[in-house]
Amino acid sequence: MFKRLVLVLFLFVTLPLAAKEIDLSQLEKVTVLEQGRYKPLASYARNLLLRFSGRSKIGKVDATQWFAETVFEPAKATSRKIFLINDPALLEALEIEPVKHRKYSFDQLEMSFEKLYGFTIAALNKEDVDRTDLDKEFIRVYSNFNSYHQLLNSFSIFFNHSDFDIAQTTEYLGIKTGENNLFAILKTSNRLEEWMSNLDISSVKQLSEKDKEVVRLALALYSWIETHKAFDELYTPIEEFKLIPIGQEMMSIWDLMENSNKPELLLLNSVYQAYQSANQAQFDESIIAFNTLVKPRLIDKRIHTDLELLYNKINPFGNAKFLYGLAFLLVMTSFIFLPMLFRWLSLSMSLCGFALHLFGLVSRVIIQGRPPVTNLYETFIFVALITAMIGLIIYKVVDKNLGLILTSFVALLLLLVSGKFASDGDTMQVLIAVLDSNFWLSTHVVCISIGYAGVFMAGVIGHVYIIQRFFAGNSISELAQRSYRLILPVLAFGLCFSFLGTMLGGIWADQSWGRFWGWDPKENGALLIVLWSSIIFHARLAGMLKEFGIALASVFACVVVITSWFGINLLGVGLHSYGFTNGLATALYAYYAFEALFIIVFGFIPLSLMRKRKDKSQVDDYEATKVA
Amino acid sequence: MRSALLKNPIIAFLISLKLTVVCLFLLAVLVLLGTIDQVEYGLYLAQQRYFNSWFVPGLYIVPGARLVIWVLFINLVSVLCLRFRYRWSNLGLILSHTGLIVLMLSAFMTLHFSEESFVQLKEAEQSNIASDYMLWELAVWKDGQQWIFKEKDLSIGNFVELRPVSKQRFDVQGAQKKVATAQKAGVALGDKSDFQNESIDTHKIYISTKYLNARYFDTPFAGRILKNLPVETDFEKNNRAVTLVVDNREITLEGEQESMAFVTIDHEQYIFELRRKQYTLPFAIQLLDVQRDLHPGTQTAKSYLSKVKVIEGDSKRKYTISMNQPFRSTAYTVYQSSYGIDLDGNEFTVLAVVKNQARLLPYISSLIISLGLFWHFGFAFFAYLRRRDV
Repeated sequence: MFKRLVLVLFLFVTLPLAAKEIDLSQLEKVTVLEQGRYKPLASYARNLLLRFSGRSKIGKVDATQWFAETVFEPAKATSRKIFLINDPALLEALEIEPVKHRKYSFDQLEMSFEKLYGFTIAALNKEDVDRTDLDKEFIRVYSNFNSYHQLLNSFSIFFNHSDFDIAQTTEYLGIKTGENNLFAILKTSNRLEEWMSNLDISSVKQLSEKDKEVVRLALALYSWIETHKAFDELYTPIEEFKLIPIGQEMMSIWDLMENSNKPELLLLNSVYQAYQSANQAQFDESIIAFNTLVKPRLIDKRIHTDLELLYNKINPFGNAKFLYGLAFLLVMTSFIFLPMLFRWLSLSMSLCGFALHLFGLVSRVIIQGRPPVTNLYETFIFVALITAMIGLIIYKVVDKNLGLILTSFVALLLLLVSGKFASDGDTMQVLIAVLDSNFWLSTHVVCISIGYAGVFMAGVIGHVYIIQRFFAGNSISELAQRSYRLILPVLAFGLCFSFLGTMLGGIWADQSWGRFWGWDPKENGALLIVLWSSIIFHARLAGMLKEFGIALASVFACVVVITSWFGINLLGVGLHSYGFTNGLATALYAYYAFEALFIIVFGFIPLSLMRKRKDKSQVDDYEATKVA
Repeated sequence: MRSALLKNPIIAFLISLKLTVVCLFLLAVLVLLGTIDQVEYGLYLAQQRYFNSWFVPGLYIVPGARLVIWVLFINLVSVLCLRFRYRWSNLGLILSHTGLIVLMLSAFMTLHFSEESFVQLKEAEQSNIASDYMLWELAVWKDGQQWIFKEKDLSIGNFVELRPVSKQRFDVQGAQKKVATAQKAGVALGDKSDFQNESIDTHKIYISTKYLNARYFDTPFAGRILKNLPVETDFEKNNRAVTLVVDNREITLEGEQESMAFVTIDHEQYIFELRRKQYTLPFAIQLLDVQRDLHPGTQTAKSYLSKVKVIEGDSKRKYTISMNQPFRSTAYTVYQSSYGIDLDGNEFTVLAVVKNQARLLPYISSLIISLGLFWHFGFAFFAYLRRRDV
């Protein structure tokens, strides 16, 4: 604990020279290894910031600027409120005053570190099943605090510090003026050692001022190195900022400190010094030289730095969300006035949103070198794209208004949900061995996702139809008829792909595990979609479901799709249980409640009213016949 | 003829679309229940309860998926024979429903005739024996004779008999080697001297207790005790234990730590072994090398692969088995299943071995059904577009 505080003190004593105005476009291109994937530093910074704060920006400060401030000017960075804490009970336990935006700084957490540490250890000592939401929140916050703490120290060997102030021995050690940092002293360690070996330290009084300075420097050197080693033992896992490829491994600056003459360290020191002195040219040149030096040594040469930077800058899905939202507002406005103009504007926004959406997806395919659907986040993006595509086809072929509403609303909804999966950091994760098959990912997973999109879209059209019927009263409007006529073709599209995807999944399972079907929850989920869609078609043919019944059944198909898609993952069993969070469980239950309410209010109540009316009209007809 | 048949109430019931809907609905409910139950009971038990049963145990009025699928099968065959009109416009429907029949047949064959097992090997080891994941057996042998008792025979209160057998279906050398290894490792195999002078006048074995999941534990005062453990939801992790009574003497066998025991009956030594059900493969597999490739900077595996030599008679061939790239030989397929490092630091591989004569049927049926669906709905869609244009 003491050592921890000592290192924190290092950071505070080391004051930055001034706020820097420096262009970071070269820094963004530095390749970093994180979670098994090489990526540009901009992505790494963005993922970290997302993980800590749930946002990719802090006000106007983007992730790379925040990162540069954190590693180059830690004393300034620690007051930034970046830690998102959702649970008020945690704040109460740490005696931190809650704030509306729910973000807190490193300084605030550091003040309550003893408590945070104590509660986290208590939570970690429990079995996973016994942990409460609060325990999980403590573990999450503590983990983020530790990662941030390690980040703050990434470049600290280059920081000037009073521990390494030199006045008497500058010439002997060969240190330039102003280089009072660990890195400079490390370079002179041989000379320090030589001096120390000739010293008689039995009598302090006999030591000259130069001797005392050398002893002080040697002690400081020892203390800093030991403190860092203690940190390595304290942190699990160690999440140091690793950017120097050595053999098969990526190393951090601290990993290499004993080889202080390594050109990589000299260049990174130069980067740091250039940042401090706001020397743009030196900053850029040092980074370019560093990149040129290390890139050929990276194991994976398939790095699309420029494309990934463009992808980050454009933020295609965020902007597509905005455009779809705007398109939805515009098409709704078109019902009130200037229908042609607003519909045209809505179409333009939808197409722009779709283009961005497609760009984002294609970029991910190129960057990752694999098909677009490998985790839950990507399934939402992909399914959103397919639903938008179906919506645009409906616009072109069947009904313009309905097409625009479906395109914009469903894609917006799904992209909004996808955002929930992106807040944990990198959404381009590496694949486990069994999933690492581009052929099956591009056939089975893509087909299943298209199937989700088709059946879900049929369900949404079912919703539209029921609402149209609800507001139309007794008469069935032409609009509602048009919606109804769409349900079955779209459902058939979904059924075909769901079935094909399920069978391809069986074939993949047969290739990987030796069995075509194993009743795994995810397989069962896919089967449920196929079964429910088949029930609708057969029940229609058997005369068991009429128009309204088919629409209601298709609404329920949405529930089946959502259950199969990510509700199954809530069970936490089987071969596909991944990517589920507590927040999503609540959202899922809320969705079920919404659909239940929808089916009752818009479905069953009007249906029973219709039946009553029908019975009454039959009685009236009978009475009339009798009278006649 | 056809119209007369259709008027028959039994035929009308069998080809009824309502029956199809009810069966599909029941199947959907069973699939949902069987999925949710996996949380509590695990995949294997939930599968046995809902999907492999005629009626759901504990809910006897509720049919299990096996019964529902049989009714669906009969319904489907009846519909194909009697209801469908065989013309080009119905080709999609006919194909998709015929494909479903093939799929059901393949499920039937897989359920009844396929074998799923595994072989665990260290580098340089070889074996032609594979073990079942779920089922266990009791093997007894003496002087080249062997008796195998299936798990279902090992119910509490049952007797099993050691009748003379002439046919051997086990690797005697391998068994002897196994005994030697167990003795070397100091595993308690029963006290042979206790049985030396016993006169045993019956070769019947009585099963007095059986545990689905139990293990020996060392305790400070009571010594080594066998503890009955809760059934693991991951069913293959359950470790069996049985207590047998042979000539009024009890022998307890525990699958993991004390799986073997020597018993002398009529001055002849018998060896009892409780083990996972074994399958003898028509080839032996020798592990040459096993490799695990990690994603850089992580402990996440990128790939596993086993380099093996397959020995079949005089032929010896080298293969590389990796994730998604199995080795196939006639009805057998060998998959890369798992990788590990034992306590001595030796790498080992686990290869899954599946014997399935009907392996290709699901592929064929999937193709037929998909073609049928796309044909049928594709036609319907174009018809819809044509109507719209008109």
